[in-house]
Amino acid sequence: MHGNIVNASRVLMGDSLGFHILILMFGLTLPILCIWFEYLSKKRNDEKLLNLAKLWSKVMTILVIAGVMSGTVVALQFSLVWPGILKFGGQVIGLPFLFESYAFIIEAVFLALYMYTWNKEKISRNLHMFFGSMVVLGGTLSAFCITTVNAWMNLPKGFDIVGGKLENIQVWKAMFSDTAIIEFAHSMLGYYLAVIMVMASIYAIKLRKERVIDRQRSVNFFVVKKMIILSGILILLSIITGSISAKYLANNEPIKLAQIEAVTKSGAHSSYVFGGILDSNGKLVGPRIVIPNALSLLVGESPNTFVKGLDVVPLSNRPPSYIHSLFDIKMTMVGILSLVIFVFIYGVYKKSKFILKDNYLKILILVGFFGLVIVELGWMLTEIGRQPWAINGYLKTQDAITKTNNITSYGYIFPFFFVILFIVTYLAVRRVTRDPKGN
Amino acid sequence: MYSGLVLFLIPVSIYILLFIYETYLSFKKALRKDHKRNYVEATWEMTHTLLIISLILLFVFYSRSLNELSSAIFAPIFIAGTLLLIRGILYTYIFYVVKKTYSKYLDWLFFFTHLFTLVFLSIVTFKVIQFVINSHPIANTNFLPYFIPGEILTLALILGPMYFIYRIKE
Repeated sequence: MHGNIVNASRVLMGDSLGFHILILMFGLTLPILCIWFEYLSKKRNDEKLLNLAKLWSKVMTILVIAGVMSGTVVALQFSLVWPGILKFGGQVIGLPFLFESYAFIIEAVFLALYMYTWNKEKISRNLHMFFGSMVVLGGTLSAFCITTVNAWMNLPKGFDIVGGKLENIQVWKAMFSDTAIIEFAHSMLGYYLAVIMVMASIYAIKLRKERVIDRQRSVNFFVVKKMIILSGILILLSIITGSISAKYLANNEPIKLAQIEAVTKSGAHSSYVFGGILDSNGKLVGPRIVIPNALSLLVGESPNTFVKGLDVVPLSNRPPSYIHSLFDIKMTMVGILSLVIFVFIYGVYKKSKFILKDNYLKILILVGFFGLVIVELGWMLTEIGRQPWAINGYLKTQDAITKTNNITSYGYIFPFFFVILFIVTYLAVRRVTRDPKGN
Repeated sequence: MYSGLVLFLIPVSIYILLFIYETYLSFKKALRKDHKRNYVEATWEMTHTLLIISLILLFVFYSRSLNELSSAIFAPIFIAGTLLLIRGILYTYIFYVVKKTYSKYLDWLFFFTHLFTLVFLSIVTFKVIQFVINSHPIANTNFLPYFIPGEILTLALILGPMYFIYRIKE
């Protein structure tokens, strides 16, 4: 019975976070794009670019409505369904929650100000862009604070346990850990990349539908080109943060890394394994590609680097084996996305016409949505990879759950309404984006 | 012990007051025979940040008694959360999706989600007060030295813009 409650609660939290992450990705990236479009419109004296900024700021507002609702539900679920987490660590990691609320209100107030002052003559373009920058600042700080909480759950710091009680609490040390910085940098790059690629897809759709003689002169192509070049830079930066994350995992969360990379035995000369499935006994089976020494090289820059394997922990203390497959799916999608992006950039550099052809645009449109899935998979790997712990090494997930079993009775109401909210939000965004002036 | 309660009660009371006004507007809208959009604008969604702040303050300050607190408020707060979600769906649908006409039942449903959210949030507030008075939970006051300067800084940043927004609102 308890197992059912744990699973139901995990599904419920996962659904809510999955939805909320989708919304917040846009909430963090769209303000930056709006300011950028506004800046470009000023620089080039181009009304079309200003309309783009207005249009996407309107979309931003609709997403804030959905985000506030989903954020409220996530806050409720985190506290009410998993009271054990805050009961154990609230004294240590409560501070980022409080700061997050400040950051959130700064974001909301300046978003209102940004939206209200679009057409005010007394507000200069620079001041308006400053309001937008404050939205970016509020959103980024908010994301940082929440990521620090997750990072702390992955690697709890800033306290000692003396006689079963938390002592020597250092709230700043808990908040500003290396884990937090790495997680924050990698996830933010992922959010930006995902949304920018969605934008590229949307404008590639518009470009395909547009009846123009020369697609290269179209404002839609201008947007696609800018978005893809930006994505190329973000991909390169993500590769750097990704490799830092792998090194961090090897040192601090070796079991998560071992399960993700299917490292069954500890030792040097560890291979990178793509494919295969870990069976219920932790044995790697099925067709796979093995690159000798690659994992040791990745985490320690030497084939002699020792990598901890799954053999150091009993089966009951390992994360679910399917995360290796999830990681393979994620890396395949990252590979395809990177290929499409860099082929496009090559096409722009060579002034080649093939990037304007319908077939290439179709691929771009499809692949453009991969980023959203990649981010969701990344968070799934982080969260599922920490199992069976809610707070790594201190509190098991099954012990963090609420003592009431009401959750199995009516918890599924939320996923149901999230689906409806998603559909309605999509319809609202679609309606707004069909108006070229963003009115 | 009561510091956490006071910090929770300030934003939640302001939120409830503002939400009463929204409820009144949604009632007026439901009474109208036409579909004129006389309701608060999207920027008022920023008032909902007050609810999130209230909840965060409550759960962070009383984290050590969260099992007992969550049992005390579980049902009403889950219902209030669900109603807010339905309100969000209706709000987006009525003001951003439909073009001209829609069933007046939606306006009434919109009003009732406000009304019942108000009822259940008031129950939650009452139960929290009751819990703190009867159970004497320990508040995490170690955050206050960071929390209060942060609050002053945030208020300094937002009060000017908020005044400006409400001054220029029609």
